[in-house]
Amino acid sequence: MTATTDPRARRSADGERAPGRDRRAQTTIDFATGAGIFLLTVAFVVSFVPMAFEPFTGTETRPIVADRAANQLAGDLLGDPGDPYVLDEACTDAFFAGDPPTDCRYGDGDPATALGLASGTHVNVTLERDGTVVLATGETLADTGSTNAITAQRVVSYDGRRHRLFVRVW
Amino acid sequence: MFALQVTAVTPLTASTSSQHIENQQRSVISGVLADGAENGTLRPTLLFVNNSTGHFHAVDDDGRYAAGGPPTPFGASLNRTFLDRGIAFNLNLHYAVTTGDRRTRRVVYAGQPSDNAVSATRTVTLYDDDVLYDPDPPGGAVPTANTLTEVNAAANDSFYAPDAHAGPLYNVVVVEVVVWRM
Repeated sequence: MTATTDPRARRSADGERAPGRDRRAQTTIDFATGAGIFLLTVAFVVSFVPMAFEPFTGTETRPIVADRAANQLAGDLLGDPGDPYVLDEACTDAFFAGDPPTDCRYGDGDPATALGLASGTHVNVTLERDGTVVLATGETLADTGSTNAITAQRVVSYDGRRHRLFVRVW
Repeated sequence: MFALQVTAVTPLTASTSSQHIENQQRSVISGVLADGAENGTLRPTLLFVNNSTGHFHAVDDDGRYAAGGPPTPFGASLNRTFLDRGIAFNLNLHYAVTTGDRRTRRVVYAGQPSDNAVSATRTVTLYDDDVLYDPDPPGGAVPTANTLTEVNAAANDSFYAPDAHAGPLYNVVVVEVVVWRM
C-alpha cells in the first residue's frame, strides 16, 4: 500500500485535516484589495497623465508674438537695423501718428499690419519716459473689453534720451 | 485618498522667472547700452578712473561699486532702469592684455547673480588720445587733461587696461551688464 501523496488527503501529525486550497494565504479579501488598488492606479494614470502634456499642446504664442513685435519695432522698423535701439524721430513720430510710410522702414500706418500680426490680434504700442506716456498707438485694452495682455518692453533712445517702448498683445 | 494635480512647467509658464521676462531683460540691457553709446555717456564712464590710485572714483574699499552704478550719467541711467525696479546688476569690463589674454574687471558688483540672471554686452573702443574723467558733482563727469598714453606710460600703471595695440588704438573693452531680479 503506497502512502497517499494527494495533498488533499494528507493528514497532519495531530490528525486534523489540512485542506489544500486553504493552505495558501490568499483570501478573497486580499484579492479584492489588490484588484481595487490596481484599478484605482489605472484610473489615476488615465485621468491625470494627459494633464501633464497640456502645456506642450497649448497654443500660447502671445509672448513670442509680443517679443518679436518689440524686436521689430526697436531694432528695425523705427530706426536703422545697423544701430538697434536708436529710434529715428521723424519715422517714430509718423508711425505713432498712423501716417503711411514715406521713406521709413515700417510698411503700413496700422500697427497690426506693420508688425505682420494675425487677424484678430490686438496690439498697443506705447513709448514712455519716467512713467508718462509720450507716444501711443493701437487699440487699448478698454476698447476691446479684455483684461489680459502680454507685454514686451524695450529701452530705446528717442530724442537723445532713454525711453521705454511697451508692446502689448492680446 | 488625496488628489494629485500633476502638470508640467515649461520655460514660458507664467511665473516671476519665465523665459519671457529674461528675454525682456536682456533686450533692456542692450537698449540701455545702446542709449549710453548714443548720447556719449558710456565712454566717459569707462574712463572714470582716478589717475593717482588707478581705481574708479569713489569706489568702496575693495575697488568696486556695490550700491549701484558709478556716479556718472550712465551710472544714473543704469540705476534708474534697474535698481528702481528691484533688479540688481553687475558691470564687468573685459579687455585684452599685451600677451593676448583677456582680463575682467568688476566695476559694479552687487553679489553673485541668481540662476535667472541674463547679460548683454557692448564693445567700446578706447583710443590713445582719450582722456580720463573726473567727478563733477552731482553725478556728472568732466574730462581731465590726462590722456591714456600718458597714464599708461606713468610708473604707477594706473589704468585697468594696458595699451594692447601699437598705433592710435588703445584697447577694445567689452562692457557686460548682468542683471537679475532681487
